[in-house]
Amino acid sequence: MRRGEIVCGILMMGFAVFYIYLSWEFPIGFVKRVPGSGMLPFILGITLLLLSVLYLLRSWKKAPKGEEFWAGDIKSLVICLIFYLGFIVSIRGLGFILSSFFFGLMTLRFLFKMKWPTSIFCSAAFTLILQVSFYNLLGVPLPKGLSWKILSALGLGYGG
Amino acid sequence: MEVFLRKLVPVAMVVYLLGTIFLAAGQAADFPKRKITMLCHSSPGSPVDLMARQLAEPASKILGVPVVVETKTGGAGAVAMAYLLGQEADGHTVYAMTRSNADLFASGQIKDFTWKELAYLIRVQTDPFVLAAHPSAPFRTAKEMIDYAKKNPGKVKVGGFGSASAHHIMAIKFAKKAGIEITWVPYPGGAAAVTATLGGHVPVVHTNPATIIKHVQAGNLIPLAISAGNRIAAFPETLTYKELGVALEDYHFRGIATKKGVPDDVIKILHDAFKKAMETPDFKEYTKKNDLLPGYMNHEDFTKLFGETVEENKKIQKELGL
Amino acid sequence: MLFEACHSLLQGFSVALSLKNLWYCFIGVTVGNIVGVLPGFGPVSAVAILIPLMYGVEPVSAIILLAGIYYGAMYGGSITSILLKIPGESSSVMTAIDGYELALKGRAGPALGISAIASFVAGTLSVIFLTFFAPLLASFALSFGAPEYFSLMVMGFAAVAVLSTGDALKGGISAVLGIILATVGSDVITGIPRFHFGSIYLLDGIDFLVVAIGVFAIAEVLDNVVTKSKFGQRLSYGKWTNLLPSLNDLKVSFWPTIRATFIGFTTGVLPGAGATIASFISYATEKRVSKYPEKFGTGVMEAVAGPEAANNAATGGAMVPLLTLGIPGSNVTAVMLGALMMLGLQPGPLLFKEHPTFVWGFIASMYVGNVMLLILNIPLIGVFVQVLRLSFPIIAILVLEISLVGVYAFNNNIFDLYIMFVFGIIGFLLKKLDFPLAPMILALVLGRIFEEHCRRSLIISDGSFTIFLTRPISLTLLVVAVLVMFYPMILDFIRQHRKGKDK
Repeated sequence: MRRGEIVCGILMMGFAVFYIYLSWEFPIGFVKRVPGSGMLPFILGITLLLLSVLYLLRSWKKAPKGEEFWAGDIKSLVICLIFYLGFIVSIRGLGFILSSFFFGLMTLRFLFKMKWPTSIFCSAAFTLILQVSFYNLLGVPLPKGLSWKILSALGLGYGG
Repeated sequence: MEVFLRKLVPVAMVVYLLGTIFLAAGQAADFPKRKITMLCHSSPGSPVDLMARQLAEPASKILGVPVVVETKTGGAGAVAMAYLLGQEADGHTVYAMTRSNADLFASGQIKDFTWKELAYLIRVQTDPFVLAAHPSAPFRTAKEMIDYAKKNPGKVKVGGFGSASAHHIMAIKFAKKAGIEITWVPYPGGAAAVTATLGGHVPVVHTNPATIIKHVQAGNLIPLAISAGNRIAAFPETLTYKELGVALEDYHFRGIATKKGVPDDVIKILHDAFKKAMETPDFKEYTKKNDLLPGYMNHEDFTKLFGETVEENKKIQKELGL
Repeated sequence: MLFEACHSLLQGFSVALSLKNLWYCFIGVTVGNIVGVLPGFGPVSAVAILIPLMYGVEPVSAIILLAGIYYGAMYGGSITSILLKIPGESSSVMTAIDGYELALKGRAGPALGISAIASFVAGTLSVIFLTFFAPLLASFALSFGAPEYFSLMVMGFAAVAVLSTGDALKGGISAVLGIILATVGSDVITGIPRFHFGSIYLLDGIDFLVVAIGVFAIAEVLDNVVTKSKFGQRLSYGKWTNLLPSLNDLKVSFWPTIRATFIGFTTGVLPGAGATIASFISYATEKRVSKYPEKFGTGVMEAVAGPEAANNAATGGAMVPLLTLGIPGSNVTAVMLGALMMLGLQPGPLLFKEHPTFVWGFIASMYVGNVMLLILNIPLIGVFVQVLRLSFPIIAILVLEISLVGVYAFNNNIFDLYIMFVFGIIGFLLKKLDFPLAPMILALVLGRIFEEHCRRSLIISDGSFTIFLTRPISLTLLVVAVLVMFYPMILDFIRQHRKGKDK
């Protein structure tokens, strides 16, 4: 864990410095005898800086050299994150129906190595259930995008 | 050839003009093609949301398509406006807005667009501001409050919605014209400010009449002064600012906006539909029950008023050092 | 007075038990329950979609329906928290911590059962309090000004400290990160936006439910993906009798439920505190009084019973300012108030006098609604635990998709999805490094109110810090906060002192 902890400590220190730098923009002292909008952020930034230095020192001395947290299936993790990010990025353009379907299909097929038919069936079923329950029953305006244009072209468009 | 061309130009122009008129007429008749989305940046049950819903109901009948209120909270309206500007300028998305939008534009917090990118369709209602005090406060009337504040500058604490908000700016304007100094205590919402004054934690609250009328009836709050031009039915005893000798008449306002670039005829259809909706008995009943003032204003005047409000707010915010 | 209240309540039942109002009550609690199960989509949105359908409905029926949604959602909120670690509502974030661990141990059924029973007991007790003490409590609701809320938040931070025991340094970092997150967005006191990087989507700050879903639900899936710990493995829950709480479960949950009811109800009465903070305080209290505080976070029944009871009791408490003063104490009651105004009834301080049938019919309906919810939820446990029979890939997709749709439904914003995604990764990393995540979430909720009330108090006092000490309620809360924080040390000190004497 040692290397992981040290990296984390350094990242946190960097963040703390950045945050202190940002809070500098606001009044740090009292304004008309009331704490300015930069006071709490400044205090927090300094506190985080101190805590992360302590954490770093502790990790340097004490942390066991055992298994790092990135031991494990990092490849699967990255694939999963890329697919999920793809889902979020494409939701506006593709619309919920298509992007949800593709996300489910890709993840089930290529990450979890399920069979094609199962993957297609499951992702289609999830998409349908979520679309009907959130969009139709609860009126949540899920993004329509390309999915909707295709549905309308097929004469299946429903709702407004 | 030349003659032919010279003859052709006017003919072409006439054809073109007729064509546009025809097409425009076609578009106009075509206007509500599908449901109209009315965005609202405030949570359901808030005054502007109530207005949107009360308006959407009759407007659906008049326009012949559903008018659906969609809540899009965030950034005091910035998120809803950004969404509106991302839609096509075809009039199928409108936005229930308030005077607070002018504060937002004046504050310079929005970098991506300006107030000029919206079309201000119609002003629907106005809502005066009212100063009210807790019974334990060392004054019972506005006159006494002004005298007290003159003797104790900055000691009168006035609570209300937001900082650099319409409520804050109006309170500052009042204080300036009355020649007194007050301390503003900002709250995240009008109801929270009223609650604080009911508990006696902040002696005075600056808000809209509907939020305090029940508390006044129960004797828990004393209305001091009102920003309207005339006394209002809810508080017949309460003086207007003008009666107090403070030359100020101003209102909170709510209305409907859409994206700039929506064709003029579509704007007219929408404007007329909402105007008609405002004249239905149900809408009038709601206005009366909530102690609001009918505040119809057409597209041109409302646009002018909004622009003026933004400029004025900018000036005051600068003076306040915000 | 007691007699009077009983008499009025009986009259109320004659209103609440009419066929029409029973029907409205049933619709309300059912919708509420469903809405509670769906993450992100909360009672505020549910009430909003029902508003257009309520034109012409009698005000009493309308509020029976709306309140049903409110407390029904509190029952439903625990279900996804326990089964999938997706907090269904902001007030069930604490339930997710131990509830999910219980589910991993194959005890999802009992956890759901205890959550339903604790909710029922607390819900009913809070309505009893409401029935008999509502008018007395009105002044209590108003007695909290900015300094009192500040001290309450200090007490909240003491609770955070309790949660961070174990590794104080890591807990501290987690809490500081939480408050830092809370500073993002417009500063209420000056109106200046902070740390929003020019984005309008950050002007309102970072929503804590979005962060909670990220660091709990998404991080959990990522963790399982990377360790492959549960690939192809199904959770079993054995025989059907294992679905119900055991006698021991009921026994250990009894006192937590009672304590949480008091905590939840009083917190609920205060406008602006509410169910979420009540569930935090309850969790911390249970951890403090427990004989095995180190087991909290690994799946103990008390940690489910307490927060769930607290959030239900808070809904009863929230009705106090609404009915006695016409003040909305939370977002949900604000929406209810708005809906009533639309129907032409404006609740105010004279409501009890002017509209007794309305008030008492409504209060009576809350007894009925709680019974309905219990009957509705117990058989549903069998249905819901079926989710756990699915294989891990399916559950993973389910969690990722539901989280996404839920977070989107929360504000209808795509931007929130990115926030959830980023916090999924942050949560995963912190979890891998053994940082406790609860302090971060709690600090995020408390931080904003803490700073705001601190500065507001100082505006009111013209900059004098003594305002926090000269007001009795504020002082009491600060003393309690110090006691909560240093309770074990004080206890040790007393014990050693005694030992010294014995010698």
